Amino acid sequence: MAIVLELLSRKNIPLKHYKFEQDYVCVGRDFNNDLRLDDPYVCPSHMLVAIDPESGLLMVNDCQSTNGIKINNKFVTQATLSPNDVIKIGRTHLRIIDTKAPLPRAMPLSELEENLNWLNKAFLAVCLSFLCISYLLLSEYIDSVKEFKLIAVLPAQLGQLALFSLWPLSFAILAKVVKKESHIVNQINLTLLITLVFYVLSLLQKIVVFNVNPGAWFAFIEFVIFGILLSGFIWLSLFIAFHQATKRRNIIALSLSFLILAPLFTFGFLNTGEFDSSPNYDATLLAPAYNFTKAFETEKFIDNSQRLFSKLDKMKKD
Amino acid sequence: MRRFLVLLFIFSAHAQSQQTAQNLFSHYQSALYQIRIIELESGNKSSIGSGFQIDQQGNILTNYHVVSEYVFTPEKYRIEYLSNDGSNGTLALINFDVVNDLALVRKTSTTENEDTFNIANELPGQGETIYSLGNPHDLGMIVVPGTFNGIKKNSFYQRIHFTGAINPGMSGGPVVNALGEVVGVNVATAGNQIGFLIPLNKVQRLAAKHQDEILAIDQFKNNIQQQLMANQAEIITQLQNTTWQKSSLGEASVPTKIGEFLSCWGDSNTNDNEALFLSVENRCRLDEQIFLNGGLRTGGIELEFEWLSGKELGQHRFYSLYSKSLVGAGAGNMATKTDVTNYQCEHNKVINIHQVNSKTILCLRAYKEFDGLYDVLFIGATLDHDQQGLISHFTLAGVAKDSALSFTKQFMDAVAWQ
Repeated sequence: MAIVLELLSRKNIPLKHYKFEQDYVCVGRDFNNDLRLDDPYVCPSHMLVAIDPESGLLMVNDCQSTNGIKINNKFVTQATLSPNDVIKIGRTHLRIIDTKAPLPRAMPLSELEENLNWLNKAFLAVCLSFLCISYLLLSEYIDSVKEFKLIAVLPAQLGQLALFSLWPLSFAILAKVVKKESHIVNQINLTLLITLVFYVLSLLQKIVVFNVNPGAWFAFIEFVIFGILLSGFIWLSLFIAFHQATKRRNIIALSLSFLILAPLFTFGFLNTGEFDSSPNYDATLLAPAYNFTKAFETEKFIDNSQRLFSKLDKMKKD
Repeated sequence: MRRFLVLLFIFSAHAQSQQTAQNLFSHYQSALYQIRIIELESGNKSSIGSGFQIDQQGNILTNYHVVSEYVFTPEKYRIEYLSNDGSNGTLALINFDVVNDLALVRKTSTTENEDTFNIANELPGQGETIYSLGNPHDLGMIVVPGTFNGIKKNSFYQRIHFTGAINPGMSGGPVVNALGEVVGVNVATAGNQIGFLIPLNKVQRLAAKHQDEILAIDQFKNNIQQQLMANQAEIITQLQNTTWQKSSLGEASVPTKIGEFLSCWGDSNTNDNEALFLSVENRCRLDEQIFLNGGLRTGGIELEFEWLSGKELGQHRFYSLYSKSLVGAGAGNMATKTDVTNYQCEHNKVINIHQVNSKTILCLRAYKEFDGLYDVLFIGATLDHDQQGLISHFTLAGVAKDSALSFTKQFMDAVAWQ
């Protein structure tokens, strides 16, 4: 029979394990112990772990130590262990593993993970960065009214790109912290790709709004699409960074998106009661090349405007 | 000898004018009052103006804006007068004319023999000396001699142009001719010796209501609403019935002279050598607005056209600039949360009768206390050219639904390509 002791961090994350092919294990600060702990709060001879010969269960015994033994935060002098009990001696956290207990089956390999392999290409990262910076420079050029100097605007746009890469960087660092691969290239590619999708959608939105002039409901649709994009992005970032259970990942992705979306929603949709002495209108104008729909006649526009009056009279009563 | 005679004449004319001023003041000071709006909570005055008595029943004329706080929140204020001899008493509101900024108040108790001002039958001649009376900055009653310069041109709300200093606190004081007859009422100043007075006919019209009963408090807002309604109908009808003179602005033909009473100005950026586009502006507005209370003005009109041309910019850059020029249009009149609702807007692309395609935005807000009155804000931007465009814009303050819609329609159909 073997006894396995697992050394845990303060947050009970496994650090190291020791396997002993014997029926008892002495734990303490003394070098004579089977497992020697370098913890000043542990006695030279602190704890004895043994297999009960009759029941075959694991037991711990306190060897009259100064600071005692805590199992799941309760002091004991002698106790039988059940699986997943965390033992605390001095400031050290341990778990004693019963080698007879069966382990859960292996997690199936994720299809999605295989399918995301194409993201892991440095060349793609270079291309996407180039596309992003081109888009930023082009929109800067289009927005400029004075003479356009590339050298003058380039630093600001590169800075913006660097700002975007904070997100993949922080995920890569977090992954490294929990001893996983950083997947930095995947993370960067994912972020740039989502940014580009966002740019394309915002251009499309302009064209649609300019041509169709939809009502206030369209802003809500825009918000929903933005929300889906954002939570998908967070979910994928988590997926690449950590090996989590799907449920846990869903919960984290949803709550993070909620944290970002809730204030946006409050400002955008619930804040309508505030008085504003200026009107809030859409000023988008696009060149004739993007003008696809037919214009109304003056008469029709005036007719449509009638509804403003009833809307206002209703607002007045509220 | 002749020179001496001329000098003597000038001197005597000057002496005479001084004499008149002195006479006027001593003779009429007992019919002049300081009008005070007393805030009930603190028991102290919150604003002051001047007023003058016109009959034995104790009727006093002043400016509407002097008593506007009381009209809007009668439960928080009362009106008092302070006479030259230091006696005071309460005043009751009889009637008012918001459009011409006049109010008629009445002393609640009168004595046997009251001094009064007579109202003149006709306006003085151009250049005649007239005398403005009032109590500037709460310093005591004064007389300011000045010149009558006729009725101000380009104005819908008629004002006498008076060359003489009118200061805050003199509002509501009378302006009299050499005989001591009232020819106008102090109302505003445009700085440096230019003052504006409410002319005689408006004064006569309100003074004729001196027999009226005291106006019930719940009728105040109702009266304002009716007066504003009638006024907007008149001004919009006048605007729509005059022929709109067209002139060219860039490649467009736009109405630049609408009605005699709007004053127009132009501007362009041709001085800016670095600009990659041309902007030419043409704007007309009504110089006066109707004062309703400290936070609310109405009755204003603004019309604006801007021609933008950016041949060197290319269509995408031009349209980006064009969009930005459309941002930030605001109301033409001051109003607060308690007075008006938020704006509601209608956007669309419109093709007018001259085949001009425009993105059109019409925004409206309603007056909370005056049924059927709205502020209108319109913006149109033509969409027919790659690197050129015309922005047309107007605001109307305090108009009825019909006026708003018919004026908007006429304005939209007035723009054409040359």
